[in-house]
Amino acid sequence: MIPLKPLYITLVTMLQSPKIHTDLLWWLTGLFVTLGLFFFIFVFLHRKKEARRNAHRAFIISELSPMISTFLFHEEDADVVEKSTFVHLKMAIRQLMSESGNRKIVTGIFLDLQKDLSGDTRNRLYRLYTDFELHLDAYRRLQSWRWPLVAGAILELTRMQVAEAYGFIKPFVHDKRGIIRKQAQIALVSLKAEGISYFLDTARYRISEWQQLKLLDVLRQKVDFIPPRFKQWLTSGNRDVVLFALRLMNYYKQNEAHVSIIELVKHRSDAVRLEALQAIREFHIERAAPLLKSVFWKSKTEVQLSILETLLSIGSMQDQDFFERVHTTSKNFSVQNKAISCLNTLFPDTVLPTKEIMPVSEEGHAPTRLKTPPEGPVQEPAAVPGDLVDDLAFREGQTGTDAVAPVLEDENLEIFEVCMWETLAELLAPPAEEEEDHPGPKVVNLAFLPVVDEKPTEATGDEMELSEINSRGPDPREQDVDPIEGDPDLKEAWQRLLFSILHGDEDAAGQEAGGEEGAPAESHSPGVLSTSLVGQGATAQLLDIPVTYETVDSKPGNLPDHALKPSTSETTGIEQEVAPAENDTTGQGHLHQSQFSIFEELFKGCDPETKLFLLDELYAVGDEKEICFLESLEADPDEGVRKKAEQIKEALTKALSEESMAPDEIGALDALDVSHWDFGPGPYPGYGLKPCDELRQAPDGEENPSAPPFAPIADGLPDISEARADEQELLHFDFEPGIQAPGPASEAQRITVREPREIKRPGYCLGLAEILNKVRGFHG
Amino acid sequence: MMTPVKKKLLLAEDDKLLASLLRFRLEKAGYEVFLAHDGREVKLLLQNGMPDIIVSDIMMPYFSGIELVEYVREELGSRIPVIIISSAGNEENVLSAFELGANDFISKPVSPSELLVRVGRELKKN
Repeated sequence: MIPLKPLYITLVTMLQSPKIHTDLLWWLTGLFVTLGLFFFIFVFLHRKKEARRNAHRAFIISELSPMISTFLFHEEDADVVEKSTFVHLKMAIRQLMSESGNRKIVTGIFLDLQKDLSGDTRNRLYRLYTDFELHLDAYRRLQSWRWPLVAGAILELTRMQVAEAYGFIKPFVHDKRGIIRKQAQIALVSLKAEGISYFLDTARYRISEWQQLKLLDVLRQKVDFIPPRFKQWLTSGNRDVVLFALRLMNYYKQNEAHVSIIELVKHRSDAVRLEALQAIREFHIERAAPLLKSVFWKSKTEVQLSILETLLSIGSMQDQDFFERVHTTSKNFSVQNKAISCLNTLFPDTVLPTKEIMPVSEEGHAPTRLKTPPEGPVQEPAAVPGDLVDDLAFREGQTGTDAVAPVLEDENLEIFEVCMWETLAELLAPPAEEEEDHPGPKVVNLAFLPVVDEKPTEATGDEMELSEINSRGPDPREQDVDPIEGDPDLKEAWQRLLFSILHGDEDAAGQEAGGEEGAPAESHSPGVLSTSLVGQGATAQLLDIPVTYETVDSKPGNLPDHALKPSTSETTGIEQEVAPAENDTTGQGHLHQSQFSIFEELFKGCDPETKLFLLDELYAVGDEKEICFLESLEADPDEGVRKKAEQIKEALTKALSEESMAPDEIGALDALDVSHWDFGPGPYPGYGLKPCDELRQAPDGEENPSAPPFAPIADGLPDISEARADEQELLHFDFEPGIQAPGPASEAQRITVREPREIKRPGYCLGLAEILNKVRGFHG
Repeated sequence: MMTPVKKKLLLAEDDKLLASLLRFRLEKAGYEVFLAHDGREVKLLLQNGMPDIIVSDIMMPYFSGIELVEYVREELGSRIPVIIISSAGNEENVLSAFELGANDFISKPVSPSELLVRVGRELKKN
């Protein structure tokens, strides 16, 4: 039976709160209050004592600082008064330092100043420290059993560069207490040059990485330090000594222990091996390569990476197999990547990217016909512009499934041509706004072209052909056969048209436009001819510029008579610039000279240096059209450009005025610019020539194509029949045989006269007449 | 015989020991040195009169050396030479001081002889 009553009593007792002696509580309260009071009093007194000590220190510092300054900057050659003051100060300071506390304060001052001063003042401070015999206090503290005092004393002696303390500090290098030992190591290395040797010889304990860095820093800051040959410690039994010696050899470039360094590649410690590999790279020890390959497979990843890096540095062509073997057999991602990197560095493009490469299909763009390389070992592609192919493929937005490296067939030239087309098309494309305004065929600003006003004429056969060409499509690139190339007549017509455009030969075009000289021309039935335009000697099929023009005379010999007229801006977007009639310098032509300078476009967006260069070119090839442009440059923000433009304008004006001199004066010139001859009754007699308009004009008003436009003047010249072929050769012109129209402007415009005195020789006149007749399209 | 007029030099350095030492050296070299230990003292001294040259630590209480340069150049509109004392590794602050118009700088630990040469050179320039 369970006794219920005792159980009940026990439970009730447990539930009731225990009795507390209030007296005991009061006692405890009193105790803690007292302890608190003591604590606060202690803190108060301690702070007061510290404040008093700081005040005393400040007072001593204020007293001592002028004295120390006087001592520091005292010169031996000072005057008597200063010397007397110095002696008195010395006595005062010795008296002040007789107290132990003051000595500590002075020591603290010295240590503070040592940090803030440099140069000669710091050296004086070191001397003053020993003069005041403060180092003796440090020696005494070295004998203390308390490690902070010992370590502090070593630090103080090291900072104040007390070299005599070297012997006292030496035993502490092997101290069991780490802080003292490290401080002693730094002191030994710092105080004497042989300290590093002693330290490396006797080091038995580990040398931490941080300690090595500090020791290296101490050595680095030592003036006139001659490092010992550190190779002697490569054989040390202390791994850290070997490591530190290797680092010191690397730092001081001690390239004299190749065999030992190679041997250390086999060291058990990875740190030593890594440092040895670093040394091999640093000293380019090529003979280590076989050993590196042999130890590679037994090494850890970090060492393997370092070995690959080292082989990359010292390797040769024979290492390709090794890298490939590492690449294929290693299971470590980093090592594999490193091997690929080494392969591609030593043997460029050996391994190409194969992962996540966008495939390129043949559809959509003919020139990017690419073939996929066969799977298997990586092969080097042909020397093709890889980025060019990639660029094409990505631009076309072609995607596929086969992630392969693109390999190009023998179509480099074709690709290049297509790229060039695209680039040129981008360059020549009008701004976006214009495209919106004129959604039709792309047009190019041809404001610089001459404007021909003439009466409307019936469409000729060539016009019909051109209309047919237009109807085929605007882009000759999309056609299998170039319409102009396919039709020799059209080609010839087009060449002549280009010539008249490039040479500004408005008169030539205007005089015979529509077969009616002087008749004003108007735009009618403009056809858009989509073809290519020669620009500055470039090939004719490069630019895709739709040009509208009136007629193309199919008659042989009259091809320059094409009346060119750009269509109005309302229909084609081509901007016209019609010069006022008074600007017609010829006074007889029906065309207005456009004042557009090709250099104006070139100057847009140029920097001043380029502008200066272009100005030089402008002077070389420029004519009247450039004068207005040069005048506009007077407002150029760059002062150099303004000045140069002014100079060029003056020089060009002068040159142009010389060109328009009287014919008799032209004999002094050394060049004739045919493009400036207006083919009218001009100054040809001066060159021994005469225009044959009357011969070319038949009685019925028709033109006689068999008559040459120019002929030599027989009057006043030696007998024409005496003309010699070699005299004709005096004119050297670059008209190629078989080409009816003159070549590019740079070749045909300028006729060089080798000998000005030959200007009225019969042969010369005959040659000149021949040239001018060719320019006029006459090939008798 | 007239004594040559001493050039006034304002030395702003919060380290009293170093300031006292530099002051001693500069006074020995013939300058009249006005010592300031923080930015407020510098301002007070500048309001009382402009010195011929200012040598200032870059790190000071209340008013850094950079702010001092800015204050002198922009608020006072003065072109007097300012030499900045900076601890090593504080190049960014030195660049800022130069951008604001400091004329020269000298790094700690300071060589008093070097400071004297730099002060003399700046005064000669101006």
